Amino acid sequence: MRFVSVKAVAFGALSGQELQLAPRLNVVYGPNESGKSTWHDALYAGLCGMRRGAGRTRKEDEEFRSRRQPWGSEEFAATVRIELADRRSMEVRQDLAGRVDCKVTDVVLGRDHTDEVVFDGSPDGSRFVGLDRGAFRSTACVRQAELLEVLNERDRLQEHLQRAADTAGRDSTAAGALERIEEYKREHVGTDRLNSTKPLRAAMNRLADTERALDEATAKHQDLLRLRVRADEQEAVANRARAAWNVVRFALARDKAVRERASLDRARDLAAQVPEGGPIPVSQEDSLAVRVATAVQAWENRPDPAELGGPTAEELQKRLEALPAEPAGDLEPHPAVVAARREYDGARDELERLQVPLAPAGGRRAGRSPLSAVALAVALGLIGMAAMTPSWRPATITGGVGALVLAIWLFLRSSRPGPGTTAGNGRDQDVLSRVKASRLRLSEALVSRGMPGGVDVGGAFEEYREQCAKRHGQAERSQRREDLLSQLPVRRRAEQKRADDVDRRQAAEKELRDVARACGITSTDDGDLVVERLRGWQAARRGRVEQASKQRSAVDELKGLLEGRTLEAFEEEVENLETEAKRLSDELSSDGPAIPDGADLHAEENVRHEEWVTAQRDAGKLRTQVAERSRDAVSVPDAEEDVERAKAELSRVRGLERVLDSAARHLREAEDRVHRDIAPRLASALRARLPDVTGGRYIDAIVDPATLDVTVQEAGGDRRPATGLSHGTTEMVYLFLRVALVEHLTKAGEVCPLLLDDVTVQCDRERTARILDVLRELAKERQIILFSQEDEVLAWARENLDPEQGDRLHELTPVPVGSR
Amino acid sequence: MKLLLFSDLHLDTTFAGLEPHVGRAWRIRLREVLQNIVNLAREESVDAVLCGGDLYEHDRFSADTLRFVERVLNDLAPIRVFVAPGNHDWLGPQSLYEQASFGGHVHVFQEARLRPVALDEGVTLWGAAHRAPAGTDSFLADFRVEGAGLHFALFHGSERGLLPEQGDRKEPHAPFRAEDIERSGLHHAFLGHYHRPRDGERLTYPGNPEPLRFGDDAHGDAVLIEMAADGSVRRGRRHVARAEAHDIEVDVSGATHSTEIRQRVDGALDGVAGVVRVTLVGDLEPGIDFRLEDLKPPEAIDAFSMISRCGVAYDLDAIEKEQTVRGQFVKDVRADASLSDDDRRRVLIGGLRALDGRDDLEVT
Repeated sequence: MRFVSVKAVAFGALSGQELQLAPRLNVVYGPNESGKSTWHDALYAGLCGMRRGAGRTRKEDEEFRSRRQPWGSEEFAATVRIELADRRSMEVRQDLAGRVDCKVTDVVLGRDHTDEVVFDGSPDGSRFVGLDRGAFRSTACVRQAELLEVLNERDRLQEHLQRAADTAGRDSTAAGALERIEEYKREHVGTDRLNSTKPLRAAMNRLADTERALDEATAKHQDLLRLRVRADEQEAVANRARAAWNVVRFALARDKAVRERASLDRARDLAAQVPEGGPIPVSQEDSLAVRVATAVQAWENRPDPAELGGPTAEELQKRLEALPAEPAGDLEPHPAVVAARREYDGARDELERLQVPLAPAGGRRAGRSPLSAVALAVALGLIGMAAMTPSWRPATITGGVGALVLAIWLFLRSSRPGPGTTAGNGRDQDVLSRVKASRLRLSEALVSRGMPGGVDVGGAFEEYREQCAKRHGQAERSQRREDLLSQLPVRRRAEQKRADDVDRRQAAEKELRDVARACGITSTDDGDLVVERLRGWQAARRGRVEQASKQRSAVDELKGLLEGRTLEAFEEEVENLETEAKRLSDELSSDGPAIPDGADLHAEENVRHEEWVTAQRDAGKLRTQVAERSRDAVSVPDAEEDVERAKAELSRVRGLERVLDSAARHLREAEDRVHRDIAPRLASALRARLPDVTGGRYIDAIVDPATLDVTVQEAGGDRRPATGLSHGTTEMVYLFLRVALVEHLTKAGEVCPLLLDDVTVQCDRERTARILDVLRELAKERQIILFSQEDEVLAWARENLDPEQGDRLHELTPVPVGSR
Repeated sequence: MKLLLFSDLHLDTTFAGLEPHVGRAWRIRLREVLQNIVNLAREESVDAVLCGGDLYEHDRFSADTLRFVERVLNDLAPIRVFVAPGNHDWLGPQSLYEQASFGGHVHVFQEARLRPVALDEGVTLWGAAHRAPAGTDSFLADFRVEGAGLHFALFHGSERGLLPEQGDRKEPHAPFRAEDIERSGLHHAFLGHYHRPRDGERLTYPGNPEPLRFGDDAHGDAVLIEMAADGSVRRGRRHVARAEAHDIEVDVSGATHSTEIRQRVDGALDGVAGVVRVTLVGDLEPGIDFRLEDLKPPEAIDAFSMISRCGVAYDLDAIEKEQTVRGQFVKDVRADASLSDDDRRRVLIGGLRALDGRDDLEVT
């Protein structure tokens, strides 16, 4: 391909101007502000246009537009005419403002070839040579700045080569792309090391976490399902326990209802027995009843006063007062005295039998004959007998008997022989002694009985005996006092009792009549009739008391039955009990447990109730657990979706890793292959031209296919890296490499023109000439359009360019200021 | 006699690959559909509601769903409800059906064989339950109705002849053949399992009443059924879906900026309600600064999901001709048979972006 012409339709300061271009070397000379760069850009823009893709406008495009769009005009266009290797002639019109009115037309055939070369939304004429506008700008357009860059930083040569080789000169190299991929992978994938914080490990962790969460959610779900089943089963157990309890409850309720119904009926009966107002009040008659009973009893037990005979107490008192006092001394001869007398008499009798005169002390005795004794005894006996008459008192009888006994004794004694008559003298003396001694003892005994002592003991004795008899009589009279004294209180008590009986009898009669009046009984004179009527009253009252007692019992029983309730309330309760019993009966299922026979229902009820409570409590616990676990339950679908998202994220990251790895691998392989392909070409291009432009100093070049490092070989065999050559040689090497790259990048069968902008500005005259010579040689193979402001170039062009050989010099004149 | 048939609601199902709020919103809508069915049953004064199974998913149902189903079905009283558990809501001790407290008007078939229930005088409904999540044999094998009158069946099973049209993923649970229905003496079978609705001569698949995935345009309905004296049925489909689940592709090719993409998406969603998945397709110009999170759904959209399958407008044919590493790269990648098409696309775009000096190397 070569440029035939370029028309700046509306481009920078140019408007409608056209530049005809020769097929080989074109030198476009012009001083500053002559539009030289404008024509350079117009050529580029006229051929390649500007991208019309979506998205942001690229910075370089923006800058280009800003630099080249005419001021104050909406039109921004350039047209080039090109001739392709296949001899086709194309006109490329670029509407650089709207990028709509762009067209590529076969000049000869008039055919539209726009679609053939559209790139990034607009026609790109560089596509005819297998490039695109980016590649064309990067390879076919050589700017002064690039050359300066290579000269100033020699290692940039390699980068330029790589960029051209890798991306046709775009911004990046394959190495940069690989580094970018690796960096992206480090940040957006990372490794699967446990301590990594990058997405791959995070996604793996997230998946593990979500899978754990899903396992937990599923386990909780299953656990909850099982727990619900257990809760349901326990609920069934509780229901069965309740049914069993209900059976007993029903039995109890039924029994209780029956009992209470009976109690209610009884209460109703009792209530009917008690008159309104309560039981008959009989308590107020209690005191009267007591009086009646007492009066009747008193009447019936009233005393019957006895009639008293004999002397009255007053009479007895008078008799008592008339009795003598009780005598002092012996009433009967004291036995001791009697014994002493008998001893004395005995001693005397014995003495008499002995005929011993007696001392005077015993004279009376000695002179007495048995006859006198008999006479005395008879006398005494008679007295005694007389005393024994029926009118005598016992004392009189006693006296009589005594006198009789004495008379008998005296007779017998007088008939016995005396002591002196039958015994000798010795014996007489003893008898006398005994007579004396006995007389003494008799005397002493009489003295001891209050009698005066003396010689006449016989007389004393008789006197003593008479006194005793006298006192005996007095004593017998005084003995009547005791009898009277004993009779007197008895008589008095009897008299008092009788008086009391009379009083009580009178009181009983009076009370009887008073009570009868109190009882409403008309009094009569007949006490027994009153009593009979009072007994009738008592009987009537007992009837009333009995009735009242029955009523009180009924009331008490009723109270016990009602227990503080009213009859209506009791009835309501009974109805409720019956209702409850029926309800419980209704709840009983036909296949439920039977009422236990003979069981203690209350005990059974307690047991079954406890069983139900326990079962219900257990069921309640399980229900609570179900509720709690339901609250804690995690949504299984949510957890599953979390896992799916985590899987998707891990898959994404793994996919990214796979894609990045694949991209890197393919890039490396492409890089290797392309570099291997291009390296020999670059080396060959250098090898063919380097000796000429270096005057034979460098004869060969080597390009490392891995790095595109360029090494040149001196004629002496030494190798030097291209980065270590002189500026001039470096410029040459660079230009040749660019040409080689253009050749390499251009599609087969085509040649790509070169646009060089002030590439010799840093060269001295000699180097400039040498470069221009090389360019003229290169222009034999491809069109070269060199823009320059250097006079040396102008001079060289005027001298060396041959229009007939396809060269041309374009001399520009400065564009008037303000024309843009 | 008028019946309302539905099946395959799949309460508490899972929606993989969606954002959490989308899945939850969808599950909520499934519940609303059941409510719609109940409302329809009341409005139409049907005699009974028949559920052909897969009302919920056993492995996932929540306590909340248990109470919801319990209440909704109980609220239908006195309308009778017959449920034939399917392979997803298979009947076991831990089933929702076992744990819910249904009124006497709700009848859940218990046995893995058809058992009769009197629908009306001379009308018998035979129903069966899946008792396991898999391995349930045909309910119609060796089955023969007993007694006179009209006989209908309700169960969850796969009519073999219709299986291919249900898609690759459909498992043939309790498989049978259409001719088994007539051979068994049944006048008609009300069925669940197939999500694509089907009204056969002697069978009715209502289909899933609510879409269960994006683009499920062929989902089913609730079916009003009127029985004729000769055992034939007249069917009327009633739309009960809460909303559609749209799967919309938006071509972003040629868009010049992100706002234009949003405008295209907004245009595609205009008038659309329900659950929507938008897939961006086409070649996205490399320079467009667009991110999925920039797209916001209209208010009418219940749930919204976005994915991008956009390419980038690289002229790969042209690049491949370049004598550069870039060209070689494209050529090599395009020729790499080990790559899937999607991976190839991603490798190409990612590699080219890297060569372009870009940092957005991940291709969605």
